Amino acid sequence: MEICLDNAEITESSPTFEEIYIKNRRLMMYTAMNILNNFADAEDCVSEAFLRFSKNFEKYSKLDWPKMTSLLVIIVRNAALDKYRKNQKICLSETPDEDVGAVSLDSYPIDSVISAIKDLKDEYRDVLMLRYVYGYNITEISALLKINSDNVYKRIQRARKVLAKNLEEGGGKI
Amino acid sequence: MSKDILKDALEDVLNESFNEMTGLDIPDYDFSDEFRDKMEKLTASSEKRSEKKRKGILWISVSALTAAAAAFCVWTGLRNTPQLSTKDNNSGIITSVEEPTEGTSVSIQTTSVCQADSKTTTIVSSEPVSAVTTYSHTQSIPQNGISSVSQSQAPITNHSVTVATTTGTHHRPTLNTTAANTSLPAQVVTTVTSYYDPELNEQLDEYERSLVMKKFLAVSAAAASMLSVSPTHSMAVYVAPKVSERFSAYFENIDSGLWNADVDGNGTFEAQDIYKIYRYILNNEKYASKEELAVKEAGDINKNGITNLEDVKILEKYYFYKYGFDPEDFNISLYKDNSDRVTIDSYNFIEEMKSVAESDDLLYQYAAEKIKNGDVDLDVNSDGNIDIMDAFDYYVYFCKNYYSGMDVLIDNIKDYDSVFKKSEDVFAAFDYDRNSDSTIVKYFIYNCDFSPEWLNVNIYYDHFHKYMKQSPNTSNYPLYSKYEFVTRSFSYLVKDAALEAGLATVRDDTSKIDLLVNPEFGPKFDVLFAQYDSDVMNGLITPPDINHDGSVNFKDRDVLVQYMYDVIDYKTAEDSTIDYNTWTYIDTQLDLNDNGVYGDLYDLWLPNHLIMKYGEDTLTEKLNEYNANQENQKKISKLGHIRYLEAKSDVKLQRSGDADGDSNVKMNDAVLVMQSISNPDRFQLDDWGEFNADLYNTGDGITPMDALEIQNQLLLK
Repeated sequence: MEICLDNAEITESSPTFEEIYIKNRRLMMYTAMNILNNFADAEDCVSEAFLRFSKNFEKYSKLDWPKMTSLLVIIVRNAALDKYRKNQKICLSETPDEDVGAVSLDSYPIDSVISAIKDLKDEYRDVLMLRYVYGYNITEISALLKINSDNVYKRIQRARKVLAKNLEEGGGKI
Repeated sequence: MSKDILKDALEDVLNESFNEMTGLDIPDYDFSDEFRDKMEKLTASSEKRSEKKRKGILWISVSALTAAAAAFCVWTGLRNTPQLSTKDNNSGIITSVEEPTEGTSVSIQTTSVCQADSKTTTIVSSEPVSAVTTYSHTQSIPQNGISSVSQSQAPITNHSVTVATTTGTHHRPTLNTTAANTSLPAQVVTTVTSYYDPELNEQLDEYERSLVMKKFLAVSAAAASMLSVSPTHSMAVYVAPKVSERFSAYFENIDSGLWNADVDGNGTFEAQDIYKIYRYILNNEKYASKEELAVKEAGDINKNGITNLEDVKILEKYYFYKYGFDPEDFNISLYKDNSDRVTIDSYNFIEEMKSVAESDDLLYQYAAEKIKNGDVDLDVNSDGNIDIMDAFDYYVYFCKNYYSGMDVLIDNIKDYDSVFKKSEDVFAAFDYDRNSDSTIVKYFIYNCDFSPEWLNVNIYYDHFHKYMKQSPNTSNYPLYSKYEFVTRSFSYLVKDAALEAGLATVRDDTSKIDLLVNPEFGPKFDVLFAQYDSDVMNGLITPPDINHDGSVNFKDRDVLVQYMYDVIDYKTAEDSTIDYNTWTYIDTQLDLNDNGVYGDLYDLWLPNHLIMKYGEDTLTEKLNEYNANQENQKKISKLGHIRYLEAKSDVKLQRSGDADGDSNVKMNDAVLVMQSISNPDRFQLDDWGEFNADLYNTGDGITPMDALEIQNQLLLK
C-alpha cells in the first residue's frame, strides 16, 4: 500500500512551490487519470492546476496541508472534467433553475447534511467547499476553476438548491 | 440555509475525503519529460516571484509611509494655503536597496515630476563608474522645490557612483556639482526625491474632483522627482547558457552507448540521422517510404516508445554539443527527399535545427566570435566608429531584403549606397541567421559602451531623417508608415536586448502616476492620442487588446482602470484581481508613448480613449486586420530568406503548386494561375502563391506553363 503524499517532513513555515508540487503531483495525477484515462491529458490537467495555483501562491501556501492538498485536488478535478467534456464534445446543458423553496439546514442533523453533501456532484461540492470552507470570493473561485463569475455564482446557487433537494428527499429531519 | 452548519458539514466532508486520499494506492507515475520541463519552469518562475515580492516589501513599506505623509501635505496644501512650505532636504526620499544582480552591478532608478525628466538607469560594471545628473526640464521650477539625493546606508565599496543634483531655477538650470557625492555599493538603489510646486495649484484643482485623482495627487507628491542620472559608460557581461541537467543526462546516455544516435547505422552520427527521423515524423507511418519506416525504431532515441520531435530535439542538441555550431550544416541542399529533391521540408528542418541552436544562443556566440576575429566589418556607415547607428543602418538593409513594400522607403533614401554595400557583406556573413538583425544588436549590447540613449527611439528618427529625400509625414502615408516601422521596430530590438542583458530595468511604479501633476500632461496627451489614433486606424500598430482575448472592448478598458488602482494601492500582479498575465503585460510591455516606462498614465489612457472613441466593433475589426497582416509579414520574411538562399546556392526548392495558399493542390490552383495571367486586375497571386505556383522552369516567374504543370502533377498523383 502506498501513501499518496510523500513522506517528507512538513515544515512549520510556508512550504515552497516545489515542496507542494512534489508532495501532491501523484495524487493529482491519480485524480485526473480517474476521469480522463489518458496520461498526456492528465499531465496537462496537473500542470494547468499547478499553474492556476501558482498565480496566487502566496495566499494558498498559507493553508494547512489537508486544505492545500484538497484545494489542488479540487482544481485538478475541475480541469479534468472540463477536458473530458471537451474531448467528448459534451456541452453542459444548463438545466433551468428549480425552485425548491427555502430549506433551513438547522432543521436537519449534521450527519444528514454531510450525507447530502457527499451525494452532490463533484462540481457542486467543490464550489461549495471553495466558497464556504476556504472562504474565497466569486472572483477567486472563477480564477481557480477557469469559469466566468456568472457561472460560479450560478453553480453555487444550484449546488445549494440540489443540496436542499437531497436533504428533503433523504429525510432525516429532526 | 445556515452557513455555519453548511460550513461545518463541508469541513467534515473535506477532512474525511483527505483521509481517504492519504490511504489511496497510487501508482508511481513516470511523468513525461515535457511535463517535467513545464513544471521545472513553473517552479522556477513561482519561486522567482516570491523572491521578488520579498524584496519589494521594504520598498513598499517606506513608499507607503512617504506617500501617506505626502498625502497629508498635499491635502493641507490644497485646502488651506497655495504656498506650500519648503521641504526638509532629506524628507520625501525613498530609498530601497535590493539584492545585487550578478557580478558587480549598480542600478539607480529615478523618477521625475516631468515625464521628460524621468529616467531609469542601471549601471553594470566591474570598474568604478560615475554618473552625473543631467537636467532637461524646461518648466519653471521653484527654487526651494528640490530635495536632496539619497544616500545608501550600505558600506562604501570600490564601486562608486557620483551623483550631482540640481537646484531649480527658471528655464534650464545649471548644475550644482557639489550638492551630493555619494558612493554606492554594488546594489540596486532606488532614489526618489520630492518637491511641490504651488504654481501648479490651478491645474491640480482640476484633477481634484474624484477620489482616484486625489489618490493620484497623494502618491504623485511622494514620487515626484527632479533628479536624473545617466551613466558615463556601462557594459553587460555575457554569460553563455548552460546545458540543463536533463539534457546532460541524455548526452551521457548517448555517449555511454545506452542510447543510439546513429539512426541509419552507417557508423557515424551526423545531421542526416536527425533529418531521417524528422522526415519519418513529417510523413508519419501512412505516407512514409520503406526507408523512412526503417528509422521508426531507431529514431526512438529516448526509448519512451514513441518516435517524435522530442527525439529530434535531443539529437539536435547533442549534435551541437558534440560538433559545435557550423553554418555549413544549414546548407539546404544537404537534405534531400527520397527522390533526391530539396523541398520545403529541407528548409523547415534547418530552421528547426537553427531554433534549437538559437535557444542555446549558439548563433549569437558564433557571430560574436566572427566579429571579434575581424572577419566582419560592422562599421557599415563608414564613419570610423562602430556604434549602435551601424546596427540601425544594417537594420535598414535587413528590412529592405526581408520585408515587402520597402521600395517606397528605399527609393526615398539618399547617400546610402555605401551603407548598403557594406551591409550586404555583413548580411552575407550571417546569411544562415534569419534574425541577424537581433544578433547584431545583441553584439552591440554586450560588447560596446551602453548608453540609455539607445533606448530612445528619437535618436533613430533623427539619424534616419538625415537620409530622407523628402520628410516622411502622414500626407505620404506609405512612406511614413515604413519609416515609422523601421525606426520603431529597431528601438524595440534594442530595448529587448538591453532588458535581457540587465542594462535596463523597469521603473519605479510611482513615476508612472506623477504625470498628472505636470501641466504638460493634457497638451502632450492630445498630441500623443492623435498620433496613436492615426497609427492604430492605419494598421501601423496593434489595436489595444489588453487582455489578449481576441477582441477590443470595454473589458480591456476595465483592466486598465483596475491596473491604475493597483498601482495606487501598491498592489502587485499576485494581489490584483486582474489576470496575472494581463497585469504583467501592462506592467512590463505596454509602453505606447515609447518613454521606457511601462504602464504609465499615457499607456493607460491612450487605449482607454481610443476604445471610448471607436467602440468594440471597429477596433476588433482593426485588430483582426492587423493580426492577419502581421502573420503575412512573417510568411513574407520566411519567403525572402528562401529566395535569398536559392539565389545564393542555385538550388531551387521544389514548388508545391498551391497557388491559392489553402494547403491543397487542386485544379482551382491551375485555374487561378491562368486567371492571374489573363486578368491580372481581378485575380492576383500573393507572394507565397507566386512562389508555390512557379513549378515549370522554376525561377522564370508565372507563365501558362506553370498552370499546365500543376495539371500534369494532378494527373500523375
